[in-house]
Amino acid sequence: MSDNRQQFRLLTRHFFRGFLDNDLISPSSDLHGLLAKVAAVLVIPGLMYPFRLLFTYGRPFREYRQLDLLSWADKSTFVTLSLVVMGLLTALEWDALQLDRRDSLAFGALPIRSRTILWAKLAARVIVRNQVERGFFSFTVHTLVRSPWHRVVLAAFLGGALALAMVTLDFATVARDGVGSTPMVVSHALAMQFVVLVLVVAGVRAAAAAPAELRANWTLRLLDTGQPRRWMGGFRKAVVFAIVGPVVAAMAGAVWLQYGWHTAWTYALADLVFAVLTFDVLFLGFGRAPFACEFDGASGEAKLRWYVLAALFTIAVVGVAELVTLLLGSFRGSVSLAVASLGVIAWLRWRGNRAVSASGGLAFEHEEPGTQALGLGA
Amino acid sequence: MLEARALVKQFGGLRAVDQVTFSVGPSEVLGYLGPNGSGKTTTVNMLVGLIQPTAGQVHFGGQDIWQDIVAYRRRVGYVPEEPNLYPYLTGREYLQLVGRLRGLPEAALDRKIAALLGLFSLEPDSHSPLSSYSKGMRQKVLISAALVHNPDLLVFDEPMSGLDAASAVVFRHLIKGLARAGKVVLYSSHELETVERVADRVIVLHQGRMVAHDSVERLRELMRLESLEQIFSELVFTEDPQAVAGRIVDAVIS
Repeated sequence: MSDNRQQFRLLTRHFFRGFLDNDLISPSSDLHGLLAKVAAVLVIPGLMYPFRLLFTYGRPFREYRQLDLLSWADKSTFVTLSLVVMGLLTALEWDALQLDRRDSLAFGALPIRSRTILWAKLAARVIVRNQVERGFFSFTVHTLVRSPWHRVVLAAFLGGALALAMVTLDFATVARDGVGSTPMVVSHALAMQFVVLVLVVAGVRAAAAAPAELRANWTLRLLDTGQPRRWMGGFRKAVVFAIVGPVVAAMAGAVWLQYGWHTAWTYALADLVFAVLTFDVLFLGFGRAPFACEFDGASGEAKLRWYVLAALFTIAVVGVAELVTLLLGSFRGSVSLAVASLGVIAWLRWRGNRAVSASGGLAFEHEEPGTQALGLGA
Repeated sequence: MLEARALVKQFGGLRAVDQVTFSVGPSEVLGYLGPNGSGKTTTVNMLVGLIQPTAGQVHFGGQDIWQDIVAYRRRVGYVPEEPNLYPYLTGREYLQLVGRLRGLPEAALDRKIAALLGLFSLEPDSHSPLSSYSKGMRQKVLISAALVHNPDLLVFDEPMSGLDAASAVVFRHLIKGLARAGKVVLYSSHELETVERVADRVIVLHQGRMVAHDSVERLRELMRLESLEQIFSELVFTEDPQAVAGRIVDAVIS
């Protein structure tokens, strides 16, 4: 018994140490600087926010209803910030929670596998029939799930998605019903989901623009056998299956609890179509081999038009969601919506394929004005 | 047959490779020798189609490789000098990525991967991430990846770096076996002993230029020297290597 307790203590200490001492926190790590910046960004609101709270709540003689109205945004901010911090920590520390090779050698060969990876492997066998597509499907899933840098990018965008969704919900609900009124209007729930999906797909785009491992890029360059549609097909399926699918499923669960299964599955279908449409819009003109471009586009690629489009989308999303909800209310409306959406997706994909064919395939180097590519293909 | 025709590669003001011309046919191993910085890896990068030459051409099967680089890549197996891989993939996943993107049928690919992992003693670690592999293990993964699609042309750039003594012996036999199977093999290295044992012909490169190109036996006869090491020293070093080593020792202990 005491032996068991000692083993338990030793193992707990071992894994706890692993949790604290991972590659990201090591001073020699590539991501050490990134972590320091993230920590700095997270500390700033913590220092500044109390002053803001003092001015808001420091005055006497507030009525409860006034305070409730005033505190709504602050509550949302704290919840969102907590979610973002937890998301980033989870993304950074995920590997430390798994057994590594040394652990396996020390504790026996344990068949530890990530459930996501297993699920993705099964899916790769079932839903991706072409070998080249299957190769890129698996590569995409592995990169998005395991690469620390890509996980951080996705977590940051997911945090942003939750924040923006909360803001959208706040404005929509407060504008229509006033603070504290329940239940939330169903179309507002759909608007929130659209906001989340746009940011998640935007996160995937930012992640795909960054190389999975710059020094290993030669592998994909040599494996480029002139099938860009297959590569992008595998990439698209992986994103829908491994990233969009779970997000839609989680949101469908929340909708089911509030509005019942019929609304849940109808909205889930609408979400999936919307996510694919968003993917084709955001990746139109991407033109690069995902995770294999020498230029790190994640930081240098933000263009003014993206900000303008994001602002317009945030303003219009509630109206779009209301229209979609209205159309989904009748059979004819649902069919019209499906046909129109699929038509737009087909058109976007045709344009994307034509652009890739015209440029002679996917690019492995990306040259922005004012930057210089490595020139290895010259 | 692989042919390099007057290859030149210029990086700014530096001419890394200058007028390199050779050919190597099926069932033949060509050793490509040179000291550090002589232009070996740059030549190899041009030969496998990772970079384009500033001047000159690379032909395979009588055709300029850049006329249909995609078709050429399907026929090439390449082991680079540095084992840079995707650290979060396991050895098996990396080989699956390579095989699938090359369009190999899944069942055949699985069989081949299992065989290669077993033969290279990587099976126990096949589900571990590549970041946990030693350099030698990563090198074995690279060699497996270069062979998985049964290429016609194999280009090895310092393939034995990190391999243990036993694996190195196996690898030497592997090169000879691949040549016997009709493959075109180019072996770039500065390990003279290995090149002497496996290569039918050798090229010695110095400061981007070819300074010798013949069989080891003929070079021995021509230069009246006993070993490839002596020939190499004669061609490449301007000073006596023993004297240079002596001066380094003096500098260290003084």
